[in-house]
Amino acid sequence: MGRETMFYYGKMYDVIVVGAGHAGCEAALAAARMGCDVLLMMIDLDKVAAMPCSPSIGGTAKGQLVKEIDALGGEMAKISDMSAIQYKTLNTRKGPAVHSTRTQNDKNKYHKAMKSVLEKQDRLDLKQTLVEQLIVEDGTVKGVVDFTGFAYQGKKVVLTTGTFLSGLIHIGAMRFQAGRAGEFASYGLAESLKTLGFELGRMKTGTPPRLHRKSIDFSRFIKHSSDENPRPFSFSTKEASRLQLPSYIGHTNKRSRQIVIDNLDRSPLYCGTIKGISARYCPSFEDKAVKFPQRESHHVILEPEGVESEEIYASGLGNSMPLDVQIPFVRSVEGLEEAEIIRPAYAIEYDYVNPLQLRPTLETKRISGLYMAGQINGTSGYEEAGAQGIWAGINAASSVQGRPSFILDRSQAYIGVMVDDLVTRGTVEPYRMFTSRAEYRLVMREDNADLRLREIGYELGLVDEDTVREIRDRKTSIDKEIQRIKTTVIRPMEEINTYLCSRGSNAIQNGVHMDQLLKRVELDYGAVESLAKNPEPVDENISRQVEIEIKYEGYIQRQHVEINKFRNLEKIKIPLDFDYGAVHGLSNEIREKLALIKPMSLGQASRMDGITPSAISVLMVSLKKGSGR
Amino acid sequence: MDTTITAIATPSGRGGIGIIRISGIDALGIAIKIFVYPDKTPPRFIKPRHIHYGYIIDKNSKYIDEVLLFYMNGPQSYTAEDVVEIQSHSSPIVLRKILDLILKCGAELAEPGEFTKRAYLNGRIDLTQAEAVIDIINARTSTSLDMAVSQVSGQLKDQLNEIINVLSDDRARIEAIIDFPDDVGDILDQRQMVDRLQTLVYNPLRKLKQNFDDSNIFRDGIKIVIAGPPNSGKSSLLNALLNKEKSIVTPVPGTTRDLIDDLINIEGIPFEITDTAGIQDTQDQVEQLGILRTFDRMKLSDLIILMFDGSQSLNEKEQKSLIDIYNEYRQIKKIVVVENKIDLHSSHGALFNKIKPDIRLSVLEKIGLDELKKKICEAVLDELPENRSSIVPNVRHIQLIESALQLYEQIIDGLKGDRGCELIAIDLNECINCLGEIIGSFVHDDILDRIFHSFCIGK
Repeated sequence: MGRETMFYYGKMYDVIVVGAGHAGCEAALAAARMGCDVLLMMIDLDKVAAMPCSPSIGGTAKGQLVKEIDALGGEMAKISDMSAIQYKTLNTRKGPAVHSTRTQNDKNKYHKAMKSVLEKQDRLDLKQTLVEQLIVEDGTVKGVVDFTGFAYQGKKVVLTTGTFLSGLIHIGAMRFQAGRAGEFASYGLAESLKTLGFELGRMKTGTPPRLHRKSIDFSRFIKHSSDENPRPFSFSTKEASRLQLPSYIGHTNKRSRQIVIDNLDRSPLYCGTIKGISARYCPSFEDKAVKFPQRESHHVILEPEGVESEEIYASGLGNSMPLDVQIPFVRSVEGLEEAEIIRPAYAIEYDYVNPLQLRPTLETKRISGLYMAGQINGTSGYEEAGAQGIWAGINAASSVQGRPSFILDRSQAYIGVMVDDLVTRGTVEPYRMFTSRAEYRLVMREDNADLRLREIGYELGLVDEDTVREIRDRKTSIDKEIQRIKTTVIRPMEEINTYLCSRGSNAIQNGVHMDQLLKRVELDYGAVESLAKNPEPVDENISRQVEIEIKYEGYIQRQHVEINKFRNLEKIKIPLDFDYGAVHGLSNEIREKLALIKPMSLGQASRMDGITPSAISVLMVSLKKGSGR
Repeated sequence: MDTTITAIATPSGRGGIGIIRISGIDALGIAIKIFVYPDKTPPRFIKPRHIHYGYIIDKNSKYIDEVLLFYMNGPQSYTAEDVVEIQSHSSPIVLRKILDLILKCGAELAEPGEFTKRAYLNGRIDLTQAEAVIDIINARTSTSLDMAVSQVSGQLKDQLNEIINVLSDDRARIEAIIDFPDDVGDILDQRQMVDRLQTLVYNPLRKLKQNFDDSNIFRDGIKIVIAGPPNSGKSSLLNALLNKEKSIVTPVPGTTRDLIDDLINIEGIPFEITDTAGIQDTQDQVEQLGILRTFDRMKLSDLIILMFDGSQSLNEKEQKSLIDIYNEYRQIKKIVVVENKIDLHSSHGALFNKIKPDIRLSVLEKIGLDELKKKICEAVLDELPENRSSIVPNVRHIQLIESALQLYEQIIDGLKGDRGCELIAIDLNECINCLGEIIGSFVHDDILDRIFHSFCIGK
């Protein structure tokens, strides 16, 4: 940057986090709670943990991520509970493995609640400033320099830049530099990363228009209310919020499509202005109109942005059109004829760092001590960002404290699946979590996230003693109850068979163990338990696990067989300095790929693109050789 | 490594010796189950580091091939595990039958280079040999890949790809319902999926399985029926081919009243050879029944040896029945016409105007038997070519197809029994992987691509 003198802030931080979005907040909180001195820097502190797009947290697979963050001791689920205005469990018609929680949230409350948690956190400093440059010496990060030329020293730096890295907003042909509508972008930092040799790519995302509540004719929409007895998002929230606001569902029509099609040449997406890759699961309306011409109508969901706000988020109407097209387009929807657009829809392009340049700790391979989390890694979504944030924060803190790396594998958590996907296969489109990405989703459920991860959170110092003790007790109770169910016999007595028939179940001829009955689709724990001679029903949070474990038993066992196979390959570690060039019998192409990605284990190597089974055999042999047997 | 693996260790092709290798904790146990000494006694234990001569038999004690068996107890073996090597004739059919037998006893088919890999991982091979080992793995991989490619012919591959495509579409449908309930709705049309799977997955897989089952060549050897008028020497021929007394041979015509079959091995190809009751006009009910069975068996055979006694003049009825058989079957079966008893030098040639014998021989004097064997091999090898193997899966393939069919049953059970679609997805995925393994390519996870292609997703 060519500045003559640099002024240093005297304090030496353990961890500096750049950006206070969903990734940055989790990263900073985790590191501070693990005992590090943390600096959290943000361009505009009034935008901490903002929800610049949809006013909701969770959803399929995302709900699992949030529960996992929560179980590890993160903040997202708690803040969601504090700001929730609607709760829904998705996929309740399907099995518990794919149940996912989603809340609608009051954006302002969410922001305020998170900001307050940050402000109250010990060892955490907040600074409002724009970071322009990284300080790097001998391949190790030493701190950051802000736009005024003021430098902050830190042992580790976590970058969570969201859409701010060279952000460029498009509304029709109009373009301007911004991180989000009305906020500065960060161009200097992108340059700094390029100078350091990072390979940057470009992605595109967008957000739909916000409409004024009073200009909408809600009678033309179908009202969707919250679940009746919602469960809170966080394992530590006692009760879900009672404040409930509905959403409204309507439809676009032929005319909506026609308006967009007629003006396609004015869409920056379709006239070639936008180069960034957009996500297929989050299409602009232009994409829906072009790619699915046979569909006459698409969903429009009107979601309140908050209790005190009159702004309505018009999900499904996202586009990058100029305003003179956006207005008639929005008003073509039944019920929106008079709609007033408060904020227009827009598209935004931003830089991301190809995540193949990261280690599984989310530390960059190129610069030691530099971590990245969230959209900078090519992901999209608050939940994906938050999950990477806590992961990077824990790893940065662990590294400062000389503790082992924190890595969850693909059979432990959705977070593990996501990070492994990113650092092993990279991503070209904004990466979103789906349950179908997780091979072992039967064992990685929302309902057992605490059983899976609380203990790990406790070891890290993010979960307190009482909580983990409760988890240990619960595990014991669950095992005991499963044993009891499996060994308690129900005899074929008349009243029992009468009851079974009344529940649409077949009568029994001989004595059977309770678990055999519980395996029947039509019977639940309560029904089966009531048949016991001396019923001893257990607490709901135990019986629920017992029921799932027994009903899913066969499939869960199959998944465990797969998991064991998977772990056998994970166990074979590849040293970081392993010389692939010296491995006899690998093709040059595969050698180069391995040298670039530097997989941590044979398992990770096997998931890379273009790796053959024979290459894995060759590697296995070479690794044995290296181990000096 | 708690599994036992097996594979044919020699390259495929005719001539010479074929070796099948078994390695792992069950290697010896499996050998004891399938091997007998020449006196038909099963071994109680097989002495290591000795060559044992005997036979491989199936579970019905049916003879499969004459072999040498060699047992090396671990860790003093190539893989440092218990290893059994079986040397048999090199005919692919024999090798496959033995391999199939070993697989049925619980061994798993070895991956390419897996023996060498185990040797290495068990510390059997020292460090200086490491690079040579890798070359072996690579070389084996490429040969076995070549083999895999040639085994999975275009037709079978296309068919499997179509089935995989159907399964993947259904999986994408289910995943879309799970991951995008807001966009595609959250109800699965089970009935439609059941119908689709039945037509597009079950039926073709079932057919492949049927082809395999029907393919007597792979299962029971090639079926030969010896037919002809009474006392033309059919039973003697069978015995001569078998080198033993099996049929009761007497000069009394009509001695063989029922079917007698046995397995023989000619140049490494297994044949199931059936001696039949002589075809004649008879009042004897038992004999009539035998003759009926003879005709039944001829219909099922791959090759008919039509035999007559050239030293006798045939009466009109006998001539007619022979000519009828010849005319009736020559369009659909391989027929080798054999004139026997040429040692009696009184050739009548009664049929010569109508049917010319392919082989003239004397069973008694052992004249012309080798020519007959050669003729039989030629005749069936014409039948055996690639066009047959292309639609008939091999042993490894059929194992995977059987697994896929089992998974299909589970999928259907799940769909009909309202099982959660997240469970059906697991079975679908496993089924896809089974079939993908036959083609030799791992089926890449393109489920998301399918979802985005077929469904309009997104807010």
